[in-house]
Amino acid sequence: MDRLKHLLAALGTALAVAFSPGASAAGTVTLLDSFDVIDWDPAIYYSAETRVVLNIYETLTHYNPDTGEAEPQLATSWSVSDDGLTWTFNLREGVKFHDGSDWNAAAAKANLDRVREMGKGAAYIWDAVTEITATDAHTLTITTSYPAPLDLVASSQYAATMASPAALEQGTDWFMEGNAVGTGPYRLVQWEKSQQVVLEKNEDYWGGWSGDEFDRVVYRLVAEVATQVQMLRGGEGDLMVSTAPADLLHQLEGDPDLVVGVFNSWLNIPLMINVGMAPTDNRKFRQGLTYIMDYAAIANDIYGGYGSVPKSCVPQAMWGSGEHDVAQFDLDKAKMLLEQSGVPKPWKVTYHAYTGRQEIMQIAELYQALAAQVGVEVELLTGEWPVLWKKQTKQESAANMFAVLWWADWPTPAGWLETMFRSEDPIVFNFSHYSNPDYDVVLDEALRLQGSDQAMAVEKFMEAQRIAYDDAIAMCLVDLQKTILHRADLGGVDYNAAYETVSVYNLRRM
Amino acid sequence: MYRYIAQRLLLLVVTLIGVATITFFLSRVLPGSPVEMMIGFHPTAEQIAAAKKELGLDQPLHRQYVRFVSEAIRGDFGISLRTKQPVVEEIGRRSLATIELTLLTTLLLVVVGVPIGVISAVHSNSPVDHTVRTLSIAGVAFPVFIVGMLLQMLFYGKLGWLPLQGRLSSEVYLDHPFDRVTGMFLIDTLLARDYVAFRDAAAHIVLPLATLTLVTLPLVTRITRNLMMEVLQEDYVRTALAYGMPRRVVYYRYALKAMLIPLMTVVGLTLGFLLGGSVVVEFVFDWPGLGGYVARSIAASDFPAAVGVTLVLASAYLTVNLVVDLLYFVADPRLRRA
Amino acid sequence: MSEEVLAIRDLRIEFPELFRTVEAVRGADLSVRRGEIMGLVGESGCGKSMTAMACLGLVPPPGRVSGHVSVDGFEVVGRPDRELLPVRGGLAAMIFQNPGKALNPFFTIGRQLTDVIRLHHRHGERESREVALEALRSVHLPDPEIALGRYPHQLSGGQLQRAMIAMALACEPKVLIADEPTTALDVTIQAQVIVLLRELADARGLTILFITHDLGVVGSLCDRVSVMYAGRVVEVGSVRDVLESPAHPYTRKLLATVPKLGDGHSELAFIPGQVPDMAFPPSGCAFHPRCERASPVCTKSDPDGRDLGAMHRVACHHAHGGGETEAPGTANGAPAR
Repeated sequence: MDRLKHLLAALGTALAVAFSPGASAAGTVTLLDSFDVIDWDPAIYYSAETRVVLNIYETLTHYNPDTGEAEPQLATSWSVSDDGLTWTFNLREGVKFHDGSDWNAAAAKANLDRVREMGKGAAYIWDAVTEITATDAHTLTITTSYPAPLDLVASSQYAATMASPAALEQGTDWFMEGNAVGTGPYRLVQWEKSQQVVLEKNEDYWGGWSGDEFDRVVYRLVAEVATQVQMLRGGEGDLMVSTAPADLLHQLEGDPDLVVGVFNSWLNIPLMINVGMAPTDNRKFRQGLTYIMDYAAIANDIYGGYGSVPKSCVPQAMWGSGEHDVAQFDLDKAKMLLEQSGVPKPWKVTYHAYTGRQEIMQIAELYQALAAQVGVEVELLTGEWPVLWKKQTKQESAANMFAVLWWADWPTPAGWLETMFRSEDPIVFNFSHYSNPDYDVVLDEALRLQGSDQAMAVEKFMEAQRIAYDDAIAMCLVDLQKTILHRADLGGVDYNAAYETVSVYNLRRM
Repeated sequence: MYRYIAQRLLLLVVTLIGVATITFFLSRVLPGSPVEMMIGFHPTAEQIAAAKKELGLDQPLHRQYVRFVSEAIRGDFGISLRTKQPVVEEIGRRSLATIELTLLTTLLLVVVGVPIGVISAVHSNSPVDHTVRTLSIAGVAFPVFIVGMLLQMLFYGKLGWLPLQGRLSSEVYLDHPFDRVTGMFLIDTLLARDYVAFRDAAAHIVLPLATLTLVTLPLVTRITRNLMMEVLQEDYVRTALAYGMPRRVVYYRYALKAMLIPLMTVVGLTLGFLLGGSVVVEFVFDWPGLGGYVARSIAASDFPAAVGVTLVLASAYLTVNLVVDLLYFVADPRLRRA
Repeated sequence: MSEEVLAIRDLRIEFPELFRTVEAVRGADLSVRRGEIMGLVGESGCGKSMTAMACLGLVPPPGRVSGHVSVDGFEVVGRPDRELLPVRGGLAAMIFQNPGKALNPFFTIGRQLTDVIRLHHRHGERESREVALEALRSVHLPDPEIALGRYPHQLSGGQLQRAMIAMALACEPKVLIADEPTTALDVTIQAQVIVLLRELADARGLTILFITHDLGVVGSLCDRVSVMYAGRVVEVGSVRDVLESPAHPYTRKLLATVPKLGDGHSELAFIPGQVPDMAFPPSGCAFHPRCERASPVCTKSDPDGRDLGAMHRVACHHAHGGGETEAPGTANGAPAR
């Protein structure tokens, strides 16, 4: 019996010693994330990896959301020829990769050539490029076949980050084992698959250190949001990288230990209307449909106030979006337009709603309920995103309506106006199956101008949008805000709409 | 006996081939395009085509099947579309995490659940029995994730005794590296004589283990009780009592031995069930095991992973069954050929 | 009168259930004298097996036992389990209906015998084995050495019953309680077992309580017989008295169902009427609903036993007189005299 007692006591102390919950170690910040890194190769990653890797890698330029312009990062200055076809980037000197090798024009060329050659991920952003030359050690010259805004392209969070040439030579398989060698403020020290990713301070960072930054960053992988919240409260986690549902954020409003940071983002939800199938092949009918939605309810109720009623199908935070006379919630007007359309009753449309995001489903149900009030029957077809995506690209399996959460790969309105609205064959993202030569002509002009004359480009983007909205090919449902839940003692939490990450370099313990 | 084993092994192989074939064709027929999932949210048409070619999806189905079989025979199930890691390596790593958890759970079930069931049967209709039966009904009524989260709230949130999730603390992962000899951290840390890491691993396994045990315990207890009740009705138990054998000896030596044989089946089935069925526990506690991998792979139409993991689970299940059957031979003289 | 080895007086066994109580035995009296073979006969459910279990204090829960059972002068009723252990096997040993099931399939015959022997004698492993062998020889089991190493499934029913009897004998009990030991066996094997029991009784002076529903077997084996109906002994007497001049109407009907004495046919033929529900036994004489001689008094009072002759007792208001074979009344409830 005594033995047993001893044993239990030993076990008790063992466990107590083993585990002391509470604040993470000094100098360590713990970020809670639901997703593990999948692609470590900087030429390939095209998803949630940015949360981690953008603290390791840097780009030539960095987008400033306030000015809408690119600012220096690994390039200190740049210029473009008068014809808009030749770009010259002057590279920052004295920068070293985490492996000690030098950052120079040869390294930049190696990275960009590799991206273009592999053609993976977001490689398409460099489509305009014909040649990349390392003019001298710190000068990079890039020629393009048509004027493209390469300073903005180069700030992209995908397919534009710079890795050590030695690492590039190791190849994709080596990266995939969990390797990353960049120039950024933090370097990768551990990847414990599906458990955690750990970064440590890069002492030689060119940007310098003020001393109160974090030495160590732990991305702890926690699948359940509820578990993440518990860890935040317990002090074991400092910040939730994944977006928490709005209702949860409101529940946590009274908690003095937690803060919700709210930031502008480039996330929005266009509801695409298929112009290629009855009855939405009728323009008046489509116009009628756009007045059925209670836009305010989406922003305020479904997204709990962390969203706003849009004035364009390009998020307001993106340059070139502009304010447009988009449809408002007006059932009487909707009914009038539907009647005028001449589409025989009963009115019925199909609607693709993908699972996995509760808001997408709530929006679909809201629309279904409202449409019933004006005599339109909405048949909801649900499925996983890849399934519905594929179905929507083929007219025989497409639905009349399809709402998708959207964002841009690099800072350009083309992420919506070209990717989703321009004629396409085969269809990839033009879920409206919209093909209007007038629109295409105006848009192509805008795309040409965005490299050389942004002001003119904006005008053309505005004109293109007017055509599209007049054709009622999409409903602009909501502009979303980025919310970041973190502990109140964590300062410097910021978010840049162009980069899906939290910059650890700016974080401080307060 | 040897012939029997040979027959069973042959059957196992045939079954596995069948399972592999069925899962292969199911994965190709079911809707959902894994390719799109693999290359991110905004791929171009060319990238999709290139990816399909890379995966061999542009080939006719029978060619794909031949390729699948020839690779599978070499133990290569390809690269997971979702995690982009080799399926075999990932299954290997994750199954060890699962085995660590399920073996311990099974052990606990045998050590705790079986005696409770036996006591409940021996004292049937006593207050003890009624308590056990009521609790086991209540236990079945609680969903796994509720049990898991309640335990988390109590032992992490309220008491702060145990960690919330994961297999090890961040600091231990970083500062106490040890060789992953067996992939079971409790064993590996002991082998490395790293007691800090061992204690940390032990603390981390407590809650998932408790949850899994608590939700399976009622079942095991109830089955044990029913089996024991049946055995207690046997004439030979009455005989032993009628010849002055003390009840304790009769129940725990004579009756238990008879009950162990059907119980082995139950334990075998439980083990099989736990191997594949610990999805929720792994999710709630971020335990990097096979269950979560299966669930996510299937949801993501990640067919290399889904097929691989199905085969591994099927073989594990069949092997456990085979072992149980062989144990029957050892335990039951009636099955042994004289 | 020779010494009573087994004495049962006013034995009552009740099983309380949720809304009713089943009265399995309702005041049974039984007496077995040293060296005799007493038959205990009745339909299934009449309480005879429960009576046997009561002799060993093994009435299963939640059964309640009252009255007196004394085995070789040792009062069994109300004793704790611990004190009963020496009685079981030691004073009264039991053999059962289905020897194939009554022996544990997971242990060898030898192991089961020696385990039991060591409970009742302070013998070592080796001596126990000798005792077991000797017991097996005395029941004429062929190749006893080999049989010791066999599992029950490797022996035939007859061999198993012999082994079972050997187990009982090895304990050297004062009384052997045989609960339908031949029912599950083939006719020829039945006869062999009967012959063996008779032989053992003759050679060793073994006292046997032989429980059966087969009056034919009783005739060929027993010295005396007790007839049990609905938890009571309704007639007792020498085999000759009871079989040749049955006094209780139930005994008569029981006899009438035996096609021919001694042919070993063990199926109990049909007696008209229903076996009473022991939760709600009929008022008065429990047999009255099935009895042709029943009168109003039978529905009101349960008859006490009365002597018919030397050691022939019957509990019936309208018992048949000596030699009378035909039932006088035809209709239920008609006056008997």
